[in-house]
Formats: sequence, structure tokens, C-alpha cells
Amino acid sequence: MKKLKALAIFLLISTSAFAQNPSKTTIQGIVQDTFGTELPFAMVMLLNPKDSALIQFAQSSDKGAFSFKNVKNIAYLLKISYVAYLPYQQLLPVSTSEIHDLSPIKIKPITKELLEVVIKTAKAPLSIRGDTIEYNASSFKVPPGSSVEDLLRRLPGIDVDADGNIKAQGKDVKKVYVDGKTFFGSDPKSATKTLDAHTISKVQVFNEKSEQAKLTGVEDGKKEKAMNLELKEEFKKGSFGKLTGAIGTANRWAARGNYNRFNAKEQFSILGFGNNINQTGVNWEDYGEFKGQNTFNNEDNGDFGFSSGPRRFYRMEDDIPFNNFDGRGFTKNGGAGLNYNFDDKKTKLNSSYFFNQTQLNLNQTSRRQTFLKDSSFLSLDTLQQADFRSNHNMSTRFEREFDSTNVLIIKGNLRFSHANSHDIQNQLFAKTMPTNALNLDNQENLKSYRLSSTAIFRHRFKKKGRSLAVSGGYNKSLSDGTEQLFSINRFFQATTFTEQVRQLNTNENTANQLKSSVLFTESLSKKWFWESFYNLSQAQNEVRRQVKNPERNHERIDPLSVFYDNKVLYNRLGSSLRYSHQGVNITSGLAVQQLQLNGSYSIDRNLPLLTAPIQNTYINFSPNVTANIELPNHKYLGFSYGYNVKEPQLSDLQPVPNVNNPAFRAEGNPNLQPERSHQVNLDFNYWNPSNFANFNINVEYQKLDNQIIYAQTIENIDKIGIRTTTRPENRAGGQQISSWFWINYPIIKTKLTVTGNGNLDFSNTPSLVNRIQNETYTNGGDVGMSLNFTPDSKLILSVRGNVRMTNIEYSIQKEQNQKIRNHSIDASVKWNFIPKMYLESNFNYASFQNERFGFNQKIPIWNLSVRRLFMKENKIEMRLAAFDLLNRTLSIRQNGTQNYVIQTTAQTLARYFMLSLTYNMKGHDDKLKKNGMSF
Amino acid sequence: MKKILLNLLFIAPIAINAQQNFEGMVQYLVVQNWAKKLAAVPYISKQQKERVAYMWGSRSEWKAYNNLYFTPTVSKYEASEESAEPNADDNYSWRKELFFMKRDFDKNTMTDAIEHLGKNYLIEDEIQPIEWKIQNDLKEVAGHICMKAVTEDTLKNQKMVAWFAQDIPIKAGPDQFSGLPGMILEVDINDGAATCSPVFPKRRSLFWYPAMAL
Repeated sequence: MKKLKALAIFLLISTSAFAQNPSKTTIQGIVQDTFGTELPFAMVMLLNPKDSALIQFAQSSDKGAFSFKNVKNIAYLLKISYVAYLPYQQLLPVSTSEIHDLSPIKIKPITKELLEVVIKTAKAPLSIRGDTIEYNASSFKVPPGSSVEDLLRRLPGIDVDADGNIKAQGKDVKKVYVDGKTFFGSDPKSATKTLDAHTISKVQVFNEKSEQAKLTGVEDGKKEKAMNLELKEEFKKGSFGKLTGAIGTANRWAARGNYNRFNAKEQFSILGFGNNINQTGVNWEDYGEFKGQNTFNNEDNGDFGFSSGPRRFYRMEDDIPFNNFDGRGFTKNGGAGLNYNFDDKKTKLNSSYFFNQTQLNLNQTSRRQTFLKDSSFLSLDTLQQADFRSNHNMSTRFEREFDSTNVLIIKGNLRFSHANSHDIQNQLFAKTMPTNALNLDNQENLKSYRLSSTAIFRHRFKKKGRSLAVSGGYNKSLSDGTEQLFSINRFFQATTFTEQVRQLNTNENTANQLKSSVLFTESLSKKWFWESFYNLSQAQNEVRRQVKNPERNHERIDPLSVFYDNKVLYNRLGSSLRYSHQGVNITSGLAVQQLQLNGSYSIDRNLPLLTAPIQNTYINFSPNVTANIELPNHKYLGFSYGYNVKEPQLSDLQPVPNVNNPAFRAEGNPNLQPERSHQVNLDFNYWNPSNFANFNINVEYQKLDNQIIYAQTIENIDKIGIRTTTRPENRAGGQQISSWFWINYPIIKTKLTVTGNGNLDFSNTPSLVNRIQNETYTNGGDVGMSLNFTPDSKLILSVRGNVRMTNIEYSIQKEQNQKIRNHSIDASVKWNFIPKMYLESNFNYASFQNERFGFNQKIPIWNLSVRRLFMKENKIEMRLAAFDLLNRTLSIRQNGTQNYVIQTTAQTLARYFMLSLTYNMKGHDDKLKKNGMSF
Repeated sequence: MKKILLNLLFIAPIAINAQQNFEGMVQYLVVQNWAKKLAAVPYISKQQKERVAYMWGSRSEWKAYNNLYFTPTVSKYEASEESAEPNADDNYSWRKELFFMKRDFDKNTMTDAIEHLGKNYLIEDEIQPIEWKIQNDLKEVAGHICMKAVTEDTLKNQKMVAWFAQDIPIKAGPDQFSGLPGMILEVDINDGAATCSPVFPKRRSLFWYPAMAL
């Protein structure tokens, strides 16, 4: 065909060279069918013969006649398109006369079979490419499990005999290709008999040169029918994976690997890691690759309430451990899991299993100063902790969209945990002189499991804007733990003496919760909606704590043992009115909630009650206002007001104290009322899409009506020393304002960006110490600024500075007011200095100050790494990294609240060097990443 | 109307052109897939593109309805009042951007109103010709047999496929697409990065109410 075209063009050019052709011509003709009947209103097109570009078009008259008047006299490809006829093509040479009259053009009808079966019934596109006719096989329905042979039997124009021999348009099909490749030898039947029809998307039938012609390159004129079966996209499999091993000085090591297989509908992944470099979990990138299409989900917790804004995507539950190392101590970590996702747009199924464990060894010292009305005392604390935690986590989520009006979501999560810890703690108490030293040796072992499940069904009524959602949930948890406590208390008084306490505690807790919610939305008009919801939940909790004395035959210590059984019934009914139009969404509503607590307390199961059963009913009304306004030019304004009610925690209601440390005693308060708070939030955000400038500000104000505070009684008790007793009580409550802003502005577009951020917080919190009320005023601010400079794709420089100031003022003991200052400066470089070689360096200089205590610590940390990519596609990466080159790492915290100030210093991983090797099946990224360091 | 059209299609194709004055409205479902759009962006690495496609999957689609009102000589394309994602936002209303595209094929003029990077633009110009290449593929779209045409935008690095109806001699089409011998019923940009297809057979007919909005 191509050769023919070329020949024709050559002939046209050569003839035009000899003859004087007119510069303009008129092309005319008549369109007829094969019987000579004129076809009216046919589409007639003049195309460029080289690339089929459309030059001009016309419609034939009711007599089938068409003409293109005074068109440029060049070669054209004439194309005629007519419903139910095959597209007609004819090459028109340069005309020798002013009127180029074409003899009647006869166009062929599409066989009825092709037209009615392929196009009309199966809605399959039909491609006519030279002599290839192709149609979409997925449109032909065959029962599941059918072979390609069964499918071919249904295709018009194709015959399959009893032996499986295929004929297309009456001729034998000699070859069958799959995705253009030969399928297991030359027998065409092997592919058609073995492949499942559902894996095929397209069937193409075409003429092929004979094997002989292909071999010799000499056209022998013989053509054979061949068939190509194209596989569906989802049966085209993909996979990726990565494997890393690293070894370092000071016995440091790390290993990590993941492997994923996927097709258009399914994703399967496995992930494993282990290290002793304080990486307790996965990072964001690992998480996304592991969870795949289930990384983000709509927020669907089933507890319906006031609508708060547009629905957003949320990350699923914390079923996989993220790297959340808090900077203290040394950890050994391991974890592994697998994940499966299915998604065919109507049905989504995700399930995953993950196991992880962390062994923490911590050495920490802290200095805590506690202020009393006219005195203060100091406690110096050294803690040695060995802590082991492990979790098995299984989670699954199923979503089915039955049709556009009905959706069902079912979620479930099951977790088994084991925790084991051993703390050795030495506490020294002093007023002006040391009073006593307390040595604690506590061991704890806890096994627990937790099941949570939710089902949500949403229905959309025919009436626009009317919808109903119903949810149900069941949660159950069980824990079983033992604690072995041992303490020695030495007193430095006139006569030094020692006091020993031994205790063996067993704790058994169970909790069951059954809940259900309904949400009904009705549209009152195009812009007004009425929403109502109802929540019901019934919870039962059982706590059994038995304290025994191992030195006296494991006799129970009655004042410390408790068994309690609580039932909580929760009802909430709410209704709101919403205005939604053109980016303005305002909701205002009211809810009433009733909370019924029923509790009974005894020393152990089946023993007489210690107090009369506690029965509390709390009824509260809570108003709610939310406004989200989208302004032109990418500005958004949000406002919300809510009145929140938080019921007391059960452990705060128990009448029996919890004493794990003789110097610290936690009491409960059965008369505690729920905490109520007003909360106002205002936020504004702007971004400029042309230069990526961005500005966000958020202010939040909270006022507590009936705050639950922990009143302290600090006494000097014989044989115990300074003892702190806490007891939850309701007080008028404090308030707080917190605000933050974030601004991003490109000084030179894409090259130099400045970012500023900060927050400002004011709060006052009441506290009760020895029945004297103290107000703690804390005001703090944080300002940071960073500059990012990217001169080209091979270099990224950034500098960041941060200043944090916190002032703490007390209403009693004003001389104890604190000023805490933490500053830091951070500089980093990423440089692709020669092809495939990268240098990354990060230097951080932090200082921690507290003038009142003359505390001033400065810590410089410098990390440096060089990496190189190897092999084609950069499949291997080798990296040499130095962590904390200056060997100065130390974890420092400064904190001041209520009536004390605490400074904590902990040892953690300091200088080490590490060599790592990573194999990435898909090759490593050779571009520098703007965010995050890849240490 | 649908029955008539189908009959016209397969039994009496001659009769169809008796109605030379086609006018009406076609509602298109516009689907944008931003994971596929991202795949065409040069400054993002291959690995990051693959990760986005793997993590977002079918959630990377964004759907909307747009209406095309037309007569043989003029057309207007604009956003529909109806939401194509009824389950997404529970009646939450987003601000509508300024958007319409008008074509006058007799005068060869266009008037487009669009909001771009936070600014409103009114573009009045001659209709920009599109270099369509006509292919030999046929397919049925909403009861009409359509022929395939392709074009390329070298500036935006886009490959576009349009399917135009053999039996609707109207030059109009969705978005900025027009200039084919038949009305454009389906468009695909960059292999699914964005697609336009008529909402059918949900409607009683393709032209389900007259072109009042013109």
C-alpha cells in the first residue's frame, strides 16, 4: 500500500513536470452504492495523502453529487464516509484540467454482521487498517472460564471447526500471536485453546507475508491470514522491589526489603525491615508503596455528626508502625508484613497483616523542681529502662458500590500486643538538704488484644440531595498484665533507716462496645439542606486489679485492690441546617447528648461493694457552627465553633488509689463531672498558582468550663518521704489561644524560595497544690525561617533557623518564673557533583537555655553521606554515610507546666559510620529530591 | 427520538438528512485523571510518577458534566449544574470557575471565558484551525457511528483522539475541539489523561432538550 502510494505520488510529480497543469481545479463526483443508487448527504473529505490531514470537506447533495470548487491543484486523498458503509479512499493525482470529474464512486456496505453485531450490539470499535480488521473482543460476552476459542466462535466473520481450526473470512488462519509475539510454537490452536477469553482485549485479523517471503525478503505474493490477540491491561503484570543491606561501625546494622506485584485490578506487596539504628518503623515512601491504592481513603468512621467541610482523603488507621522514634535511647527494631488490594472500581478490597517489635534500652536523667506555697523541692532521677514491645496487626476494608445510589463499607482491625518492661529508677529528693533516696525496681508484663469493626451503608434517594447513612460497630478489647514492684526507700535523717516495699499486681481489663449511628440529609431547596443524626453506643468495661504482697504468702493488699464494672450508655441527637452554594458552605446546628454512667466497685469479683453503686447521668446541649468559604483567586476562609463534652476516664472515677511508686499515688474521684469546652477556630489560606506563593494562618481559642485537673497533695510522710498524691477534680478551667502561620514565597521562581513559619501560644492552666490554687501562665512563640536555593537540577542548598521562647509564670512563687530558650540553625547541601555521584550533608546546631538554672547546652550534629549509582537504569546504589561526625548527640528536653519544671537528658545513638548497598528492580531515582534527606 | 435515530441509522440512512436543522444539547462526562496527567510532566522523576499512579489508582479521577448547546452554525460549551460525583462531597458546594466557550462557524469567531491562575480572561478571536488527521476506524458512540480523527498539540505535548459522528453534519464539539465534518462525540487526550464522552443512554436521546441556552 505504501509503495503504491509512493509510486502514485512519483507519477503525479513526473507527469506534472511535463504538462502545464492549472493552479486551481474543481473536484466533483457522485457517490453511489454498489447497485448504482445515489447516496445523499455523504461526508466527502479531501485529505493530505502524506498524513491524512483534513484539508476540506463537503456533503453530497440529495442526488449524491459533491464538488470542491477552485481548490489548489495538488494531490489529494479523497475519503468518503457514510453510515453503514465502509470508509472509501481514493488517491487523486494532480488534475490536468480545470474540472476534475470523477466517475461515479461506488462505496461498499459494511457486512450486516459487522455492523449489527460488532458495532451496534457489542459496541466494539471497528478498525480498518489497510487489510486488517480489528475489533474489541472484551465487548463480546462469554461465560467465565471460556477459552479464546469460545470467544472466537462468537465473532462475526470467524469460524472455528470442531478441531479448533480457525478460519477468518473463509481463509485458514495460519498464525496466532499474543501481544504481537509468537505463542508457544506455531500451532495456532495452542494459544486459542489455553488462554482464558477474559484476558483478551482485542482480536486483530490481518494478512501476513508467507514465512518464505519473510525469510528471503522477496515478495512471493502469497499472503496468509494471521491473528493477533491483545492482552487486557490488567493481565499485563508489573512488579517492583528494593533490597537494602547496611553495616556500620559500633555494631550498627540495617536491612530492609520490599517486593510488589500488581496488575490493573490487584496489588500485592511484602515489606520487611530490621535495624539497630533507631528506625522503629517505616517512612512515608515505604508506607505508600506497601499500602498502594489503600494509602488514602475517605474518612469513614461511622460516627456521624455535624458536617465539617468537604470530604478529604485520609490515611487509614495506624496499622503499620511509622518511624516514631522520640530521640531517646537505643532501639533494636524488626517488622514484616504483607498487603493485598483489589479494585475494579465497583468493589474495593484491602487487607494487610503486619508484625513489628522494638526493644528499647534507655538511660535517662532528669531534674525536676516542684514549687509549693512557700518552698520547693527537687528530685533527681536516673532511669534505666529495658522495654520490649511487639504487635501483630490484621486489618481489612471492603467497599462495594452496588450502583450509583447504594454503597456499603465494612472495616475490621484485629491487634495482638505484647509488652514487657523492666525499669530501675533511683530518685533523690531534696528540699534544702537531701531528704530521702528511693530505689525502684519494677517489672511489667502485658498481653492484650483489640478488635474493632465498623459497617457503613449509604443510600441516595431519587430526590436530589436526599440521602441516608446507617452505621454499626463492635469493638472489644482484653488485656492481661502483671507488675512486680520493688522499692527501697532510704532516709537521711537523724537516724538513717530503710523502708522496703514489695508488691505483685495483676491487672485484667475487658471492654466491649456496641454502637450505631444514622445520618439523614434532606434538601430543602437547591441551596439549603437539613441534616439530622443520631448516635447510640453502649459500652461495658471491667477492670480487675489485684495487689498482693509476695513477702506475706501473696496475701491480697485490700486497700490497693479493686474490681469495677462500668456501663456507659451514650445517646446523641443532633440536627443542623446547611447553606451550600457556589463555594459558600455554612452549617449551624444543635445536638443534645445524654451520658449514663453506672459503676460498681468492690475489692474483687463477687465481694461486697465498697461504695454504693455510682449512677451518673449527664445531659448536655452542644451548639455547632461551621463555615467554609471559597473566595476567588484561591483564597479560603474557614470558621468553626463547637461546644465539646468529654466524659471522665474510667480510671479517674475509681475510688481505690493506684500506687506503683511509693512517692507517687494516683487517686480517683467518683463524683467527677464531664469536662466541657468552647472551641473557636479560624483559618485562612491563600495560594498563587502562577508563582506558587502560599500563605496559611490558623488561630484557635479554647475555653474550658469544667476542666478536669489533677490536684496534688505533696506531703512529707514518715517512712515514705515526699509523697505526691494526685486526684482529679473539676475546676472553673483555663483557656488557651494557639495560632500558627506558614508562608512560602519564591524570590526567584523555581530557584530561590523563602519559607517562614511560626506559632504563638498563650495559655493559663489552673492547678491545685496542697489545696492552694495556682494559675500557670505560659506564653511561647516559635519563629522559623528557611531559604531554599536550587541553582540547577544538580545542587540544592538550604538554610533554616529556628527560635523558640517559652515564658512560664506562676501566680504563687513568682520567683520561680522561667524563661526557656531553644535555638537551632540547620544547613544542608545536596549535590550531584559528578554523574551518578551524590553528596549530602546536614549540619544542625542547637542550643538549650534556661537562665534561672544556669542551664546552657549547645549541641552540634553533622551528618554526611556520599552515594553512587551503578549499572544501567541505576539499579544499584552504594552509600557511605557518617552520622553525627562530631559525636555530640544527646537528647535534651525542657518543660514547665503546672507547678514544676523538668529537664530531661537521655543518651542516644552517637557517631557511627555506615556502608549500605541497595538493589532497586526499577532503578534508583537520579534526580535530587527537594524534600527530606535520604540518610 | 432515540428510536427514530436508530431506525434512521440502520434502516433508512437517507432519511436522516431531511432534518437539516439539527439543534439541541449534548451532555458530556469529562473525566480527568491527574496521575496520568502527571505522567506527562518532565520535571518529576519516573519513580515518583510510578509511585503516584500506584498509590492513587482509581482515586486519581475527577469527573464533571459539561453541556454543549448547538445549532448548525453556533455552539456554546459550559459547565453543567449537575454534579458528576454524587457520592464525593455530600452536597458540599465548591465555587464555580468562570467557564464557557462559544463558537460561530459562519462568522468563524470564538468567544471563550476562562479563569486561569486566579484571573479571568475573555478571549475573542477567529476559530483556531485544528489540523485533524482522519483515520480509518469506526466505532459506535451513543447510537451514532463515528469516525476517528487525531491531532497533536506540540506545545502542550498532547495527543488527542476525537470520534465524530458520520450522520450529524455539525462542526461543533466539546471544549476547544471543532472543525470536523461531523459533530465530535468523544475525545481522549493523552491516553486517558482527560476524556469527554456523551452521557447516554441515561438520557432519552442524545439531543435531550432544545438549545435554549444559546
